[in-house]
Amino acid sequence: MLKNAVALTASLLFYAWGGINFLALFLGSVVLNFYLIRLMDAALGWQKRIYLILSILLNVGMLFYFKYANFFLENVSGLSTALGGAELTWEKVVLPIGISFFTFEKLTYSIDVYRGVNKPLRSFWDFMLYIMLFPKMIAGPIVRFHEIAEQLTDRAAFETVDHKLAGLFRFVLGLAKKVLIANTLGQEADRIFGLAPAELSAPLAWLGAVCYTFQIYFDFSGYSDMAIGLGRMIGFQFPENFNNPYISRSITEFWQRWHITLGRWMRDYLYIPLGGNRVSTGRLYANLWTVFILSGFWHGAAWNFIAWGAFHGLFLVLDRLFLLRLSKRLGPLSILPTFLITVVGWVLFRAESLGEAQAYIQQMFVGSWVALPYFTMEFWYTLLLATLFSFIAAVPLIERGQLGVLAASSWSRGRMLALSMVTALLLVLSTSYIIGSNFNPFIYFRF
Amino acid sequence: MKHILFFLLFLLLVGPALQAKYHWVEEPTLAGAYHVSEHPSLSVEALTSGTYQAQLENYLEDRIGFRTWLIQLRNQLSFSFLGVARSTDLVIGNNVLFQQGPVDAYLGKDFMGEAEIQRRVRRMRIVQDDLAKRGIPFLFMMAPNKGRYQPEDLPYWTLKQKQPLSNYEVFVREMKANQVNLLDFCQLFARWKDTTAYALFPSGGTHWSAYGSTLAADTLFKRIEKLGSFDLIDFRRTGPMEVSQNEVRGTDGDLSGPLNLLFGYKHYPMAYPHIVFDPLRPPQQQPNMLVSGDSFGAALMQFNPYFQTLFSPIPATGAWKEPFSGLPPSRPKRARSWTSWISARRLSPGSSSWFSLRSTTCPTRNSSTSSTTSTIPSPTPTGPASTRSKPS
Repeated sequence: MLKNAVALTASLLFYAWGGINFLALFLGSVVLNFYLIRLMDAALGWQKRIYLILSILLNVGMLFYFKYANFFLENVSGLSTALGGAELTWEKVVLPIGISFFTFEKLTYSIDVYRGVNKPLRSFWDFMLYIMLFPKMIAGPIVRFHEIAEQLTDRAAFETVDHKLAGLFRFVLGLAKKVLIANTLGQEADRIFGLAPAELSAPLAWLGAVCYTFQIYFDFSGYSDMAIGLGRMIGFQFPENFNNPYISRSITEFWQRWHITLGRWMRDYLYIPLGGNRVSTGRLYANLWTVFILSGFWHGAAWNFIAWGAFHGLFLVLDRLFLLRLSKRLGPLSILPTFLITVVGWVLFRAESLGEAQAYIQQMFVGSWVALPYFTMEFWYTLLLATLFSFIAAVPLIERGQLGVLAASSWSRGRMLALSMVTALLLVLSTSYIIGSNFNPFIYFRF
Repeated sequence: MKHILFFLLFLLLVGPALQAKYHWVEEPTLAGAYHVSEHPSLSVEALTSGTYQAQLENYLEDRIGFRTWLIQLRNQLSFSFLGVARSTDLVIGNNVLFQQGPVDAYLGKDFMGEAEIQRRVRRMRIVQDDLAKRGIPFLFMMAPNKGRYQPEDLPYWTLKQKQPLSNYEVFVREMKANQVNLLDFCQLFARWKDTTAYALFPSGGTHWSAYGSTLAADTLFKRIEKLGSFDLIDFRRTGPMEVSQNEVRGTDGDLSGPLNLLFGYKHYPMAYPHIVFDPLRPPQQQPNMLVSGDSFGAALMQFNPYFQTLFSPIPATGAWKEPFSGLPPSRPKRARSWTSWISARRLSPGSSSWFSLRSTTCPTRNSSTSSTTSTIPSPTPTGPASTRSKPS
């Protein structure tokens, strides 16, 4: 009870610190959802369904308003001016932090209760804690209600020193991935993506895309590791969100390893309700594509995100048509073409607009082949490390070892000592990089 | 044991916050010019717009415990293993540090164009002529540029960016064409480079070394005496040459200091000649002088009080009296300008000189630019060694 109160207070403070303006709105939404679902649980037949629809409309409506209003108005305005009409003017809607994850988690709560997977929580505070639990608030993983329902009331099994140490290690590992690798590569990726297409040679464009490919992985999986680690330290078991995605041998496998909780969410709450695999082949492909286009749109309100979703949807369809058979024949070699497909996909994701993405991808394939400009040794070493850590799990023994370390719930003394030393080293290194990154003194100031 | 391990790791996590609060151990100060965030004022508007949170985070980050060591650790790792300097405006060469600005100048990356340089030199000539009408000599002194002085120590990738022309070549050409009085230390340093006893530039600094500035002063004041028919106070080196490697002085460590390394920077052995000034004797005079200059002038004033002794003090302000410290405060409360060393002085016909000290670009040893200093007595290296003491 007390632990939940502390965790909830910390979560509210965390959210308020990031955007106090939206706190009241979110609290109102949480209250409304809680009572709506209680009513739904008590209702029968069509009334139950009405409450579910109301809940979905409420949550999806909020998401659409805050995340997509600007996008739709921009496009309507563009269409209007193209047809000779007047340009629309409106006050831009500000995106509240964490709204995408909030929405998905509120939806899982109502759908799980509707499906009878779980009974609704009796305590409003427990429900609020589930929605607002701070470690997963900003970047996930998306925790489905039934995955955490029991832990909200009883976490005794996970509150051991082994879990806390493993949690601390996981947190520090995530921090190091973010600070030591993602930030360094991100700096160069930003520089390269900031260049005009004419300044981009093909090798430089590929280098920028690869940098971003590693940046987004180490950044996002780093955040997930931190969330999982913090969760373990306070007794929660969050689901895994990444499992060495760049060793995937197909895009289908990639989505089983990348942002796993989103993939599962899409499967359980979107793909299966659309009919899943139990439909005609044509419908199956259409469903797959729809789900991935929506997934892309969920990532960001812009055409390039939709294109990114469509791009992955296309390869999922191609996988089913023939690519999976081809990758089976290629064996481990299929990791490379799969990786290259994801690299091109990330350009769609990273570019500021669809037009920019198109220009960038064009340079990757038809740009001039001139030598790369100078990059520091720091950059090359970091890229090397990123490559190593991204692909090393392609060796099955290493992948099994990694999973053994990350998923273990009790540790031998020797292993714990070794892990603690690695944790201490990474923590000091990461802290020094965080503190030092804002300290770049001038030799002389304004002289 | 597991509980102890967890406690120790947790302590490591919260240790910086506790140190910030209780200051268990005293931390060294950081070098360089930088901002330290001030405590933000709390208001509803700042809180709702998110600016308060961001500013408070910066404030806390600037005061977090063990910050100095954490920064030094990162800088040391970057410097030793990755060849990266974390201070702004710095280039790491072959065991030598360079400032980005002078390197860019040497490479011609800041070339302002021939027309602009011609315009500037024409104006300089007008100033020279106008001062001459009032009996005031004018001298433009070109300070040396470390990048041009030792390009062999620049990283190879910078040299690939070398442009065909830099401001230096055109300035010198135009000044000669317009007969502007020029003392070109770029060329002189290039000429002295192979014979000098001690390093003319420090490995960890961007200005002429204490020794280099002594040679420069010797040449400069002889030139001023000749130009204005002055008889300035005499000065000379005395005593044994002090040579130091670990404890460099003044601007000799102005680049290595802001590196903020955990284990310090390895310098060349640097020479520190001791200069004594003779008393003023009839009919010697301390003429008035107006100096407009940059950090090379500051560096020259820092090691020995040439200007302070050879020229007359400003009666009202007492300028020159205080020894000049050429470096910014090691830990300023806030960044500040330290250009106030430029001292305007009363000019009176027949007893004043105008002396302009500029750090632009300089020629390499192989530059075809001819010397304008043929009448200047060659400096005599006074150190014990016959070769530069720069390590190989």
